[in-house]
Amino acid sequence: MFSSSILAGVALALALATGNASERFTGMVVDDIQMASARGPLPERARGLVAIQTGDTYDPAAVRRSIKRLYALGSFSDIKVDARPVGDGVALTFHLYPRVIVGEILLSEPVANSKEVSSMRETLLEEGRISSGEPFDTRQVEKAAARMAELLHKKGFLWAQVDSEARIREAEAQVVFHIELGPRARIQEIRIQGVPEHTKEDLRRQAALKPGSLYDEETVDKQLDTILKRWKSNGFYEAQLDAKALPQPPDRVSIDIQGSLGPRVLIEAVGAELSQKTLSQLVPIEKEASNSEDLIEESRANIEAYFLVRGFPDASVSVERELVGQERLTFRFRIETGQHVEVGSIRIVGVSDVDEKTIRTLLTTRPSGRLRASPYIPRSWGDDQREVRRYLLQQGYHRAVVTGELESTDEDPGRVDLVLRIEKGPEAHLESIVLSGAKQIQPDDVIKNSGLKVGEVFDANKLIGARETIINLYRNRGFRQAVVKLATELDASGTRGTASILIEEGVETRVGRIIITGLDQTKEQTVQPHVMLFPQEPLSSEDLLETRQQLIGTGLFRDVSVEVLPRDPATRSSDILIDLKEAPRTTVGYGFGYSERDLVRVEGQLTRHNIFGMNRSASVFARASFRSNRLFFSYQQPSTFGLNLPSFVTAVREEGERADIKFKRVGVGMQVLKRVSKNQTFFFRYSLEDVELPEVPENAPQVSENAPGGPTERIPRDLAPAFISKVSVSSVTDTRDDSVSPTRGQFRILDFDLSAKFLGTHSPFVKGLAQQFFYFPLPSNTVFVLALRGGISQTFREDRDALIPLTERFFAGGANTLRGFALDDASPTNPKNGEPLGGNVLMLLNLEFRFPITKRLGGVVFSDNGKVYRRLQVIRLLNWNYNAGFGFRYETPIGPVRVDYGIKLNPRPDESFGRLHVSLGHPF
Amino acid sequence: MKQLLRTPSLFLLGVVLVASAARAEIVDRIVAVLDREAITLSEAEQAAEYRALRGEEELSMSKLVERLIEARLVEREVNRYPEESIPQKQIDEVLDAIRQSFHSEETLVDIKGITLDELEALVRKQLTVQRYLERRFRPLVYVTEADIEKYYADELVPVLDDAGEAAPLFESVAGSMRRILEEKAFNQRVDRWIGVLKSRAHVRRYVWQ
Repeated sequence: MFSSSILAGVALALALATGNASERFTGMVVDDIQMASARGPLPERARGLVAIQTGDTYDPAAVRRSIKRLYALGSFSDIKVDARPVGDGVALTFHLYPRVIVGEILLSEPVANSKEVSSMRETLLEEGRISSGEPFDTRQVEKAAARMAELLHKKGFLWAQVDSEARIREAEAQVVFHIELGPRARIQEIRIQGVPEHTKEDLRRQAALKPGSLYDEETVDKQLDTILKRWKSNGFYEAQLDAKALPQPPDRVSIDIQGSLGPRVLIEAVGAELSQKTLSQLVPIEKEASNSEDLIEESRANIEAYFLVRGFPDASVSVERELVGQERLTFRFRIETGQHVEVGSIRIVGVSDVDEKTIRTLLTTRPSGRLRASPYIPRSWGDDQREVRRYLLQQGYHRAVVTGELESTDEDPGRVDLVLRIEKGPEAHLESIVLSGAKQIQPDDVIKNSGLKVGEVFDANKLIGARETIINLYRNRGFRQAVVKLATELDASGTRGTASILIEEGVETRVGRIIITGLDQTKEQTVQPHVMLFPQEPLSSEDLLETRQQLIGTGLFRDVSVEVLPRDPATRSSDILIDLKEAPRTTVGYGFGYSERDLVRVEGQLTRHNIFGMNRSASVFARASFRSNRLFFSYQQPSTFGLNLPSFVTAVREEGERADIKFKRVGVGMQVLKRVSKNQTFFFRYSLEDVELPEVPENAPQVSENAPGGPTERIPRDLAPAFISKVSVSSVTDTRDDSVSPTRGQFRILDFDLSAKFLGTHSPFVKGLAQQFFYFPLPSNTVFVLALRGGISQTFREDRDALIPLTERFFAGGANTLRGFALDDASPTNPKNGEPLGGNVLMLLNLEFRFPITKRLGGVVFSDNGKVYRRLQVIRLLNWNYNAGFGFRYETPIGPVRVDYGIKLNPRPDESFGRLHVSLGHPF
Repeated sequence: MKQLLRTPSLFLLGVVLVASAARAEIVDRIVAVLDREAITLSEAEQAAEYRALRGEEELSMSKLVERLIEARLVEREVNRYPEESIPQKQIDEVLDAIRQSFHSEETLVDIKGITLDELEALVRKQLTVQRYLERRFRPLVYVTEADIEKYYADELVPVLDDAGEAAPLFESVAGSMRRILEEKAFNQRVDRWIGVLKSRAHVRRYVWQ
């Protein structure tokens, strides 16, 4: 009785304890929440991810949510939550078990230092496929040991054993692989079976396998593979060679080689002429080194298709297989070409001239011309009819009937005239749009967003596009499971269509917590501005994509994953897991080169990314040669003064000799960028540059326009001696559809420079430059470009007519301005030596038509007009330089290669007729 | 004496009850991990409750966890290609069937510790998955006459023979056998597919008591 009552009590107590504990606390007030880490400190963000707080009513769903969030953080391998009654309330403890990561990976000594193992140490570790920093997993480590042992076996250490040991210290595991190498096996004997006797000897000799030599499975396999390839290249496509190693303890191995040669395969084509090269291309048996049934059928179909597309509509190919003994197998492709047929003419019946012109552009079948015969290909002709019908459907002709007819003449059986008969039928228009199921988004908004309009052409493709648009609209408003069904109906007359759109909105999902993992060096605040998702906002597919793109765009991460965790029905939200893998923080580059000018050149670059985890980077570049040396430093940061203003700082020091002129240059610059809209950006700059030419007098030509004379060599413009300290503001507006080859939109750059005495400059001036480019799309993929450029500058010197410093002056002439001239040759010159001096005023007007010639080749015709004036007072519009010309563009992956020839329309008597320019990219 | 014997037993019972009441108890924990997603004990318990509500066979906790892993894998696939939502009427029918075994909604919630929202979400999820599997795999299931004949000769007849019963006429049971074989083939396909999904995912199961 005693024992039974005790047991009953214990059983009752245990039943209570082991039942669904969570239910017992439901509804109680949470008095306390503790976070306990089994090892080391807790990550800072862990506390913020707990979805329940002190004072809340205990909610099992909130506890579950917390566990899921905490696990998603990636820092813990296990999480448990316990509850304990405290008075009327409950105290919760989150037990967090930090994830152990793999630390050092070692091979145990002394074997690791032995000659055999040290030579393949890296290979062994690589074969283990575990690396420092990844989560520690016992099974993975055991698998790694097994893989290493297998590798050693392959290397001939047939009795090698690898054991693993993990020494866990806090959150890191040191992994040690203990290797018992054992002896390396030597070949005892080689047995070959399945091939003729004479082949056995060849095989033995070619494989270079000798009893007594060291065994290495990879080498044996490689040698046998080479022999097998050789056999197959001789037509023995069914040949096989397999080697099996039989260990003979203590240190020997026997090798059994099982081989079979099979018959020699020959390919023949009869019934039509086919070169050996064409036959090899059409029959890929040799290339694939196989004569499988599939490959033979593929070859047959290839040959048939070859003749079909060459105008043999009745071509047929059959295969015969002939086995002579067991030694020769011939595949004979028997070709019956039938009559060769060319397309004589194509007549389109049933449409207006205008429609006919458009329809002809859709056809891939072409009539034969005087120079080129066009083969008749039934499949292409069928495709053409379907394409024309598809086009008519798009135009609203849903009852359109398109049929193709062949008209052949007895006089010439090799010619066929084609007739495309079209019955357009009535044109259908969208009479009504019936929308149902839209509750969370106003029906009017849905229709407006869909782009559908009552009265427009009833185009099936547009309706399908509208459906996609509506789906995206819902997905971007958090309705991730939204389904849009589209049903269309055309009335009996074929003129009025109805679109019925049924929307199943599903449930809305909002953004829950945003969990960012994988940040080691990078600060979360650096990542935040790139996260386009905000808690409690609708979960938008577009924002998910944008977030990922932005994070990739920072260049801070080598991998970015943005994952939506399962929706929590209680909060109607999904947590977002952003898992990031940081990119290497330091990159080093170096190079060597040789050029006639510099002779040997050495250069190197060291870049440190993500400094302080704030996406700041600094880079030092150094180049040295026998003629010059250059040191360049740059620093950039994504924000300035805590504002979203990316800024750049650069410094350069350069010294050397160019064009036989010694120079020394020092410069610093700072730029702050403000993007005011998607299309407009402002730049604020300060720059200081000091260029000295120690061996050139200050009043040399180009240095001073009043120079009495001097060296006749042209001083490179960027080396003109000056000490310029200036501030600049630029505005860039870009609405082009493509920055490399735009077809529409406009591009505008406005620059203003001020180099005043208070900035310490030696040459004070003010300068403005406006550049405006318009791109207009025209029919037939032609683009018209209008470019307007105007600049004006003025010195602050006493002599107001003086030119501003050479590096700042305006020049014209060359591939991007006036293409009838060489670079800068359309600028005012120094009368004393004819060198271009540049001017204070620039006026340019360019017109260009760009049109396609082939898929990758394009052509241009252009007119370049304008002039550079020394100063404002001497402007005379009538004396502009007028150029015209033509050119070609060839599209390459790095942009169009450009060849332009510019002709001077009003050349001076001593000037050349025109100029050829070869360069990369469009001029504007 | 009896009183004395009872006293310590009641005392011990009291101690056990008090101790158990004051002792911290695990209310939730991770029982499995699917890639980066944790599956918790409370979800497994909820699944068990749901099975009970639907009158389905009781499963061990490890089997339940396995089912949860599989369900999560399938859900992922389902979510990749959203279809129209399950009609509310169909969900209500299932909910009504569950309610019928209880006196009122309150009783249902009180007994099973599962909210009505959660229950509805579970029903919706299950019906969505069912529909997905049906649409994806049912058209691929095909049973030939030869399969049915083989089943009749190799499985049905021997079983009945062993039981000492006469085998029914082939024609009279052909329809039932077809349904059985179709169901078997369907389940095999689904199992194979889930097996592939599992092999692609990183699944970790936790051992606990």
